[in-house]
Amino acid sequence: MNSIVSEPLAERECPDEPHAGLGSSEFAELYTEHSRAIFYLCLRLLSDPEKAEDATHDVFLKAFRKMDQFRGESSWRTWLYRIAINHCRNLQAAWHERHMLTNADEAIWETTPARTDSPLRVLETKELGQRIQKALDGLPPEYRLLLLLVADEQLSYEQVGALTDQSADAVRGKLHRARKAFAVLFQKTT
Amino acid sequence: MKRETKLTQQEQEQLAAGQQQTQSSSAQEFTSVEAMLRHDALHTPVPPSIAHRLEESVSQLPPAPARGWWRRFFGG
Repeated sequence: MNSIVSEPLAERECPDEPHAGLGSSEFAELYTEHSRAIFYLCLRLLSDPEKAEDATHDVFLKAFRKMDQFRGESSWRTWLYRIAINHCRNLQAAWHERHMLTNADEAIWETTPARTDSPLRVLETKELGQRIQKALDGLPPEYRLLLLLVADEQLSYEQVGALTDQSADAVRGKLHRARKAFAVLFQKTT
Repeated sequence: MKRETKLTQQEQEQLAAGQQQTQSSSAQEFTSVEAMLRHDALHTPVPPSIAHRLEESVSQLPPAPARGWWRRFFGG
C-alpha cells in the first residue's frame, strides 16, 4: 500500500537520509522505513522536538533489543507504533503533562457548527506545523492519537483499533467527533 | 452599478491574474484532517542526529546471550 508518511526504500540511498551511519543491517532498513512515521507521532504526541528526538531514539533502541521477540503477528509498523505509544504515554505520565480538558473546553466543539466538510485552508506552509500542534494539543489524548494513526495510510482501521484497544467500528465512530473537534480548534489557531 | 476604477480593462485582468497566481502559490487547501496531517508528516524531517545516537547506543549494547535450549524447546 502506498503511504505518504514513508517513502520507498529505493528512493532513500543518499547519505543525508535519516539512516546514515546505521549501516546496511536489517535494523537500518527498519529505521529507514519507519523513522519518519515514528518521529512524527512522537513529535505531535509530546509537542516538543527535543523530547520527540529522544523518544524516537529510545523507541528504536527498544525495538533493536526486542527484535528477536517480534513474531510477525503484526506488521513492523504496528509493532513500532505500539512501542512508541507506550513510551510516549509513560513520558507524559512521568512529566505530568497530560492535557486534561474541562467540560467547558469540550463544549467549544460540541456547540460550534461542524465545518469538517469545508476545506482546511492555510496560507503559509511554515505555520502549518505550529497550527496543527496547537490544535492537537487542545484535543483529548485519545482523539489526538486516533487522528495521527488514521492519517498513516499504512494502517487499517482494524490496526488502529488494535493499537488503541478498541474495535474498528469504535474507531470509525470516534473519528467523526475527533475530526470535528480538530477542525474547530484548527480554525481558532488563525 | 459598476464601481469606477482608474485601471484599464487590461490592467484589471493582469492584476486579477497576478492575485490568483499569488494565492495559488501560497495557499494550500486540505480536504480532510488526515490529508493535512499526512502533508505535515511528509514535510517534517527526521533529525539526522537520531541515527547517529542510535548507532552509538547499539554499539555499546552487550552481545545478546544465546537462547537456552529449554527456551528453544518450550518456546518463549
